[in-house]
Amino acid sequence: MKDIKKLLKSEGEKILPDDHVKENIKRDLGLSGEEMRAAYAHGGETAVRRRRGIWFAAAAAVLVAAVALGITLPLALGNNGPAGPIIRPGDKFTQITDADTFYAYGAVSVGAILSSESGTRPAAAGAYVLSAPAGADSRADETEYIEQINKYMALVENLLSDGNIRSEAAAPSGEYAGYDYGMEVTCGNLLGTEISYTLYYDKIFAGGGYDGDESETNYAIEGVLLSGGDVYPVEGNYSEETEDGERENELYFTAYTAENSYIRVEQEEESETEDGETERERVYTYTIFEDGERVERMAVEYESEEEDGETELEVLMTVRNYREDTSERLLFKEETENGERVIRVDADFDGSPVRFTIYIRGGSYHYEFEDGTSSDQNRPNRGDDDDDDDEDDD
Amino acid sequence: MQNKLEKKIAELKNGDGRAFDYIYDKTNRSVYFAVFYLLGDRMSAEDIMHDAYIKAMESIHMYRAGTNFTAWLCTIAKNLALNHIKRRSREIPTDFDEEPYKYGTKHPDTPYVFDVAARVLKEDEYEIMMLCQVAGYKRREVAEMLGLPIGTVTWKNNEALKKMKAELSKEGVS
Repeated sequence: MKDIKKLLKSEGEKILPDDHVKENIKRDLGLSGEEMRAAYAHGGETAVRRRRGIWFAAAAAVLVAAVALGITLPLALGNNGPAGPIIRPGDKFTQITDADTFYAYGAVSVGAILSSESGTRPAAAGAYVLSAPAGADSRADETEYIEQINKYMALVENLLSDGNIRSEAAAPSGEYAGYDYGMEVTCGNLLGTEISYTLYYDKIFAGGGYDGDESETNYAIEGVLLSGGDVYPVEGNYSEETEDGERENELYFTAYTAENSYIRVEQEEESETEDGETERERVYTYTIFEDGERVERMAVEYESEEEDGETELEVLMTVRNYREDTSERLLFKEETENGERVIRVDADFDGSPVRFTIYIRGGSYHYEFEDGTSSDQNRPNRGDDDDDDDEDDD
Repeated sequence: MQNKLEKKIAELKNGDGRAFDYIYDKTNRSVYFAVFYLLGDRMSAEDIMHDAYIKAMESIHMYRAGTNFTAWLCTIAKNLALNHIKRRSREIPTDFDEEPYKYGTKHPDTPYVFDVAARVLKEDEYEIMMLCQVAGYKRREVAEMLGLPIGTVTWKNNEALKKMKAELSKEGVS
């Protein structure tokens, strides 16, 4: 594919319109020459753009040099990573410090949701029928809860797992050899197994630099995300501007499942200053579009709880389902019960409070509700994928 | 970008000729490839693009703000291109398919890859691929220009590239 892109770009030079077309149009419209120069007297926009261009060119040269020195890749999200403020061990969000780490997080989290969507189903025929004892209405509700939660479980496991998201350079090969960059991103789940996703991409430097009080970094990607045997076209944007100490950014990572269907993760940041200290809270929102229609939005953030002098992390998800016009709030907390890894869930399903425990047992999730009902569900992406259809094989 | 474009159009309507540079820079590739798809050669496409801008700027008061200026401009350009083709067919009665280069239906300087693109791609795929891959716009910008969801632009760009790859492989070019 890259060959086609290169061919189009190089051959494009031969067919693109000449600059004289614009000048001829301006001349025929009476807008050319002296009139325009007078309008730009004292510099004007053109001069400003030129000055900015010099700054951007200088910054781009520094960036290129940095890339050449191998500073950016393999990127270090983990223990070898750049010295970032590690506020809470296990908090994956604090590891996201630049474009590479943002895209790595995007690949892992979106990959986890996509794998859950394609991989979740009852562990056995009829397993959605919850076991006794409960009334019919209660069972129907709980089945609905499970369907909703299960698609986010792989992400919950990633976010609650020990260790960091790690990434290392992967040489694009085979069908993906045309891409300039590749990275394999790995994250653990709650049973300690590692799950990997591969991202092949081109970088698009859309500008960046430093000019007085303003600075910005703008670096987008286009490529593909390989999750198991599935391949999703992806694109991402990482742009950050700082002016007079105020920061604005536009960060997103999108994976397409069809022409008008996609899932997009965006970073949102809220800052609060108290006693001279500024605390930043990060929220990542996942929006699912199907056939151009926004069907669901999920926001995820970490909550911390002090217990016995230790800080324990919890994951809070707020889900808005636009089709059903419902809202859910789910608080996930990882614990060990009799040596078994479990997740306690405190939820509110559209006004109905529900508590249950999820037992992670190899290839399945065992749900146990407070009313005694239970259900087993397949656990997607558990890390023992032995698929033989890896499109990356060459 | 669209907001700024609309602002510049309003400035132009109010007689500020400096706005033209911005308007041209943000729209010319869209107009050019819409016309190039129909005409197949650079020289004719440049001529028609020139005429399209003159016509559009002279009737800029006809453009209704907020209704996608680029699409309006492309419609003017495509109509001019179609008229040009009709006129050319009347002026030179011959078989364009047999001697396409002689009669200007294909230009000898047009790289083969663009002939292939015009042959195998649908018009919207062609335009999107050219804007993304040749003109160098970001897909978000192309989506704004063409009034399409960004997902549609991404998908059609990928589909177009796949079709090109398949066709060129079949022909032994890549």
